[in-house]
Amino acid sequence: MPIAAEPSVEKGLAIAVEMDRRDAGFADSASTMEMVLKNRKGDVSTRKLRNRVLEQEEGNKSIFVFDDPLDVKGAALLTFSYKTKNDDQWLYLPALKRTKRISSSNQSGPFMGSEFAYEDMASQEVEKYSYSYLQDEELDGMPVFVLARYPVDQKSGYTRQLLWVDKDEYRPWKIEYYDRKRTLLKTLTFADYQQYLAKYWRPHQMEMINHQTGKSTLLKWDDFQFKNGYTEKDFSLNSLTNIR
Amino acid sequence: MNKNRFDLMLERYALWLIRNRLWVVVGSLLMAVGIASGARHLYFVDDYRAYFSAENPQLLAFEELENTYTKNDNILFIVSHPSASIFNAETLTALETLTNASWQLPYSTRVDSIINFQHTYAEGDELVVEDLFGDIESFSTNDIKAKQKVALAEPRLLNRIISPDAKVTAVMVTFQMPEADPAALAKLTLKVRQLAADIRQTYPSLEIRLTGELMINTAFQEIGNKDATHLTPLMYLTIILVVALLLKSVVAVVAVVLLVTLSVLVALGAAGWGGLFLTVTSIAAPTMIMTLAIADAIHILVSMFGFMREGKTQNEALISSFIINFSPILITSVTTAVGFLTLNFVDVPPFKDFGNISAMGVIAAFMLSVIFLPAFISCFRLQPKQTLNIVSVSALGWLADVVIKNRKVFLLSMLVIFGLLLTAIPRNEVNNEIVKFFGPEIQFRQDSDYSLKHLTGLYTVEYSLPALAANGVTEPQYLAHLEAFTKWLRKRPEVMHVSALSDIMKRLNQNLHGDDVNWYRLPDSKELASQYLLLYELSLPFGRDLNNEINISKSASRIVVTLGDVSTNEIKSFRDASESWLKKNAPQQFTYGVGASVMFADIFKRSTETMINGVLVGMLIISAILIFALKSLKYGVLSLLPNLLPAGLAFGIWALWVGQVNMAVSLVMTMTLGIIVDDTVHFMSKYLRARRDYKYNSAESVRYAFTSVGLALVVTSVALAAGFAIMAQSDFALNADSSLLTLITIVLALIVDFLFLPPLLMLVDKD
Repeated sequence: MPIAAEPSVEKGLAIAVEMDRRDAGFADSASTMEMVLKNRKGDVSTRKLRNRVLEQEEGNKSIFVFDDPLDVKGAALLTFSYKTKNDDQWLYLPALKRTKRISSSNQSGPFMGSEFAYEDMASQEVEKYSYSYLQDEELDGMPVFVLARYPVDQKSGYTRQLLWVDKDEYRPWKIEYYDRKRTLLKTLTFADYQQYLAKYWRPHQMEMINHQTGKSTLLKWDDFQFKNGYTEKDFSLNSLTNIR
Repeated sequence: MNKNRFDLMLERYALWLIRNRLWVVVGSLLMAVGIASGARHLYFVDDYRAYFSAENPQLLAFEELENTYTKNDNILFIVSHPSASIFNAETLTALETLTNASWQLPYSTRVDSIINFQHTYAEGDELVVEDLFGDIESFSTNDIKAKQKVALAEPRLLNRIISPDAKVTAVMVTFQMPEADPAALAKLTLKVRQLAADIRQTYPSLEIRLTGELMINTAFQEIGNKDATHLTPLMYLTIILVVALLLKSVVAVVAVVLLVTLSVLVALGAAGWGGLFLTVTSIAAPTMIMTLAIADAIHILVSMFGFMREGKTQNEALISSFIINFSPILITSVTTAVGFLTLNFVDVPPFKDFGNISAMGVIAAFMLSVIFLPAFISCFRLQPKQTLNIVSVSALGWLADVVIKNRKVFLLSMLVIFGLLLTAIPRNEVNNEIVKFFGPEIQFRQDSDYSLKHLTGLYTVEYSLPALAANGVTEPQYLAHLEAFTKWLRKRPEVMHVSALSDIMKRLNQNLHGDDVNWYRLPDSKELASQYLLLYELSLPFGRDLNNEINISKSASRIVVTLGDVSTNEIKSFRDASESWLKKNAPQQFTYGVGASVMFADIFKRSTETMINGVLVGMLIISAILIFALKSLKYGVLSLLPNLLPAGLAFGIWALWVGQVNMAVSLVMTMTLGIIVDDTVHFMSKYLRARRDYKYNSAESVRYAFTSVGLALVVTSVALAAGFAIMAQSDFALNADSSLLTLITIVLALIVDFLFLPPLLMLVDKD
């Protein structure tokens, strides 16, 4: 049962800041990710990646290393996120033995043909959105805040997202994505949250369902490692060529 | 009049009707309204896919392809300037506005135009992927010129999104229509037209037209509405005119209008209770029912007024008319219904529905004619008026004499004419082009024709070319086959445009080698191709991805071929040629071409093949009924000739006059079988009565048949012809052509029954 409340920009921003604050200080992390793609027909296809994140004041740095399919094995995507400008991205192509800069600020297209755009998986910098708290609700018996956030980037594929964030730990459990015509495009649900270093929560499952195409993608995260001692050198263009 | 037991039963029943007339009228009205209330469950389906049964293998293949990639239901805004190239700041700004606004259209999932075409080029170590016309305001004239060159050289745009002369361009919007909302399309169409109107208003020099697959469905919907609202009043007017002229009685007109209306409502109600939906084809059933329903009433009322003129009281006349007309009405209603029911053999659902609804209407009309009509008429006092009866009887007598005297000439000349017409039948060319289903005054037809002439076609054939394994679409061998197939396709005269993954791969190879044109070729390793694709896909913005071209496991890619101005046969031969090319040159990539145009190209063959069974079964049942009705095997078999000949002759005339048949036209044979049988039944039963009961010779019997039933035949034929003439006014060719052919068949049936059947009977019955 929704409890009536006044939509509030301040409260929305405050919740977002609190979400960010609770996740701050993990320094770095590594994990594996499996993507399971499904189309309307029920065909299934998987991809395997490894992910590294380095926490930075001006915006996190991250690397996705592609392991499977084999024909892209060794390819690596380096992203520098920024709070208030477009992210920088490079892709190392082992077959070409070259690193190519990805020009556009296009992070709204499908990632490897999945239902996730890069911006759905990327580090969620507070400044990338404006916020509005809508109401309190219960999601599967859990007290949650419902807030709306609006991408600052005009090129985003979304006009609006709705987040369901639990009041205890400030973790997102559900995100609804609304497209340019303001209709519901996708729903992302988070499951199997586990806590690391007695502080940081990481979902081990994220399922994205595209309501318009009937396709879906399941992300299975695993093998989270924290405090790996990464430095900026591990997140440089040169580091991509011989990443293990 | 010697009454047998059956006649006595009928008399008792008619007396009971008259005595309880008020109860019967009220009771039958309530019953009819009760059944008719089922019509509220009816809904209209505008999707052209409704023409294919759920187990149609081509529909299944098509849906499989759509479920693998994405649905390609699209609408094309065709934008042109009457005298200038579209590459100028103003037109480009209009296109930008239109492209952006198209994302806002309900259910839209993708927008393709020259504005947001993903132009790729190299810049140092960067692969630039950006909208071709990303920010029009900042463009100089030279910038526009440079980009124009890019657009006109791009195989993915040319002849699909931009015309070679740069005068016409398209904004192609792809939609995912919700399946559960029948009102969605109308809602969308309204928004689309509003958007087109807005752009026209802001940029008055631009012309905007609308075509695309969804516009086909819109045209279906609107033509269905138009037919229902325009043709129905015309039909009523005709019925009122025919009855008024024939009977000169207000009560008779009211009775017939009521009867016709109730028949239609009962049929629609039964369809609603039965869970049927309406299509642009089955929506023609009410007009068909109206045409057929008046015949029963006319027979009863004409005879009644005739008896009254002979001096009988109204009730005596009504009972006598009821007795002599009951059997022929019953037989003709049953044969007509059987004719419609044989449409169930045809593998085209809307035709089945049309047949079933019409059959229910015919049966309802019979029930109402023998229950409601006599009771209703007996509530009023009527005066018989002098009508055209007297003149016509003498005219028919004269015609009988002419036919009898020159019977050999008639028989021979008819045989010669028939022979010539029947040999013309094979000259009919099959054509099932969707666009041509719509008359030239329909906007959709005009817009689609314009688009075809100046930019691109509406018909696409799609292939999902399988690779050998997951991620196999980047195998050099696969891409080479894809490229060869694409090259072969582009050489075909029917083909306007081909979109294939190989073009993207070549372009990327060039971009990643510093835009050196010598690298405009396929990458030579699988890894390279896969990694190019990975890079490219990471660079694409929302709604511009490759998910509509490559399946999720990257084990198949989609080729979309846009055809130009092609006939049904050309679509078929193109598809056969493409499939045999694949078999020969890329057997591992073999697949069938699918798509709406392909399905419609094959539906004719399917519907005709299945229709033959329908005709055979219908003929068997109807012949059995006739043998029983005429109480003679010989005459029953003989009646097949005048029953089958008219449809055959009509096809011969059609071949010489129109020359193109569509799937609806092919069904006229089954439909008319039950209708034209009526003439034969009436004529032959009168002839046989004269031979058997009055012991006339064959010439006298022919004359008797002419004078006793000739007028009713002429009147019902004229009424039917008028009804079909109205249905032929439809802007939907499937309905219009089949109505016109039916009309020809009905006129021919009368000619055959008057000029050919009598000489034939006299030849067989040598006195």
